Amino acid sequence: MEDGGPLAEELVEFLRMAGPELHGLLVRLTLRADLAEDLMQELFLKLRRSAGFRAAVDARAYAFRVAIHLALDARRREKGWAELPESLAAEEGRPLEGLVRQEQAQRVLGAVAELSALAREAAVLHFVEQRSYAEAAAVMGKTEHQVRGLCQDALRQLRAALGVRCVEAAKEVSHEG
Amino acid sequence: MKDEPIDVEGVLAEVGGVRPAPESTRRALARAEAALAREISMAQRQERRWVLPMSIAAALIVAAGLTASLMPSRASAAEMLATTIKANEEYKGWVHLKHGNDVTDYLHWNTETRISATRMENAITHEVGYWFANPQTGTEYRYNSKRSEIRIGFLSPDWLMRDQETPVQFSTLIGQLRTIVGADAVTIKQSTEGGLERFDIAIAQSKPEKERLPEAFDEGVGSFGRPSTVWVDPKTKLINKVTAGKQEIYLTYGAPEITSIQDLGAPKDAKVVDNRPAAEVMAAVRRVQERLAKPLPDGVLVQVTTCDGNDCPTGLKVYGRRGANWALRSYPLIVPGNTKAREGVALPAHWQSEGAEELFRRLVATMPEYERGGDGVKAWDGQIDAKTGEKFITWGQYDMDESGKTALKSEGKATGWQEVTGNRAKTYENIGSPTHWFYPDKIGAAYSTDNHLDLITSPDRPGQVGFRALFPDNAPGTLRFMTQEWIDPAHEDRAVRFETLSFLQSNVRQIQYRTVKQFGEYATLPAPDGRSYPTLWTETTYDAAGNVQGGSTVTEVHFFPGRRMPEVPKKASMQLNP
Repeated sequence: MEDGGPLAEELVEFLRMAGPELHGLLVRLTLRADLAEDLMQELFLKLRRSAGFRAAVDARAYAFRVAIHLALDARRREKGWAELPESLAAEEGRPLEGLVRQEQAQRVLGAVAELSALAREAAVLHFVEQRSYAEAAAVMGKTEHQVRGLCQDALRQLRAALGVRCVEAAKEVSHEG
Repeated sequence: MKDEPIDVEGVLAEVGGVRPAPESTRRALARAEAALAREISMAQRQERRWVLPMSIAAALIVAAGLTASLMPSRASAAEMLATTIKANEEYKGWVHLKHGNDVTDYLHWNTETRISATRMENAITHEVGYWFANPQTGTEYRYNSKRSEIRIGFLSPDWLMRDQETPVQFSTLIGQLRTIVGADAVTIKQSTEGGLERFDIAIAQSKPEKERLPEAFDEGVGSFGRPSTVWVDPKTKLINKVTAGKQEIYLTYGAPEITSIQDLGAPKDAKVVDNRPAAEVMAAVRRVQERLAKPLPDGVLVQVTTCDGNDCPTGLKVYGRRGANWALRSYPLIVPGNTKAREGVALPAHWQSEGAEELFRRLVATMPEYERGGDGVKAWDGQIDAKTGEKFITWGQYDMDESGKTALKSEGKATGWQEVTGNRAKTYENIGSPTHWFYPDKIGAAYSTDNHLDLITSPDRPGQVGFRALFPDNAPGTLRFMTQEWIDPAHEDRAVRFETLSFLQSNVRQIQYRTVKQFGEYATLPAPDGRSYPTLWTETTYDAAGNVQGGSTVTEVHFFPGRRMPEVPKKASMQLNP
């Protein structure tokens, strides 16, 4: 759709429809409510300008993938962040303060941000968003088998990057999707 | 740190349980929608016009590029490329482009009259839209199946300029195509199928060979994916069909002629809404647009935005111009009491006057976060890592191809600047100009087919006029936004007050939020320019109950005539420094 007319309306509708889900993803990957709000704006401005989004068969899946990279790139740019803002500690539902391993979460997500593009997507969709291999494959436009392999590779790289001991690394990867 | 065992899967699963507060989500959605509205309003008249010609050009490039690549030998490939390009360039009349057998999106254009027409179906909502543009009458028509009405508006001078540029774009892109002729990584197999010449193209799969593919090969086909097969009419040498990525693109020539939006399929009995503004409104629009397009004199303009609350954006922008060279940079601003800012510029006292030298000294010592610039011929932009000087392309890099490749920056590499040329560079220059802060920026979008623009006056505002723009929603009688931008014609149309009303869920009686930009103090640009411009304004967003959201931003502007842009740390390697 060309810009300004149908695309503008379409995007606003898409924002209202898929926005909460995308915002939740951005919050989880940044663990910062303030940054996630900023990234929501950036995400939809990127989508508006994206020829790929216009051509995407599955707009929601496309937006999900862009959001993953947007959040993790922001995390890479701001490697220095560590303190959790008070605003997030007051979140409802699953308070971040209830996130028992906050420091570890920051470290692991930081390592996820260093993965290759496909490994990032697979890791986030499967391990964070708890999508089955089949669901993640549908979002990524890959086969279930490919996603399973990407997840295993991602896990291996994450463990290596985080210096996880052998006993941990030996843990069997047995997700069944 | 590395001594501590981490249950990676467990930690990620725990992260998966984090949920934002509903209020946070509501705020995020509202902010995103407001950002979209702002951007769409500003760019609508420009970018919307751009997409169609580029789509057409890209499709032709795909087609022509494929033909060029599929030759049985490099010599014959070059000959066939020249023949095919020549045939397509010299063709006079209607061209019809269709995406796929089942997809019902069409592009039509006439190479002589320059009339353009499209039929598109929204992949999300399945709404059907028709668009018909006639540059000869300066008029556009738009139909949407959801609202079941034909809306009429004016084509902007900007669109007309770009439309006329299409052949130039095409020639430029054809030149790019020549770079792929004989590419080592491309293998071509030629055959005959159904009376057409069929060429199958294969891209080498090994990484070293793929890396030898000319960049232009991917640039031209980004919207379609990599081409794999092309069919050419052996008599006319015109492209007949192309497969690219997962798409099939069909091209036909000649009949039917498209003379109206009804020819595209819009119902003949559809309600017609003529949104072309009255002549006096358009005269005012064009007067303001001329002021907006006129660049600032040589010198540097500094804009400082602070927040009087706890949740609104702050920042420092520096715009410089010297002759045709210009640059707009953004610097982080250290605000007293804001513990989030780690690095940035702390404002010295009286930065507009006796503190100016200290301000520029501090700017020299600070890495900007962003730069957009140009030299009158090309323009570029990019983000900068304030710590390392690493440069990133800021947008347009998230268009993923079928292999899942995303932005280069996701690989952690500096990607330099995004560069554009031609009229697109002019667009960068226009959008980057601070005059967009000084003059109404909604009117450019407001006289299109979908919106309604008029001039209003008020006894409370003697001597002032307001551009009132209504941005309707799909449902009849509903609005998404309404803007009122008051200017003072007696002082070079300087801005007085801009107000935007956003309506909740298309309900014109329920305001979602209201944003007010109130301009206060003014100064005059040095002669011979002499324009009056605002030096202070506040911007406040109110919710439906009238509560201030986050706080008001306070923006101060000062122009330093003849001044040069501050130097930047070497790591950022700015391209120019007007």
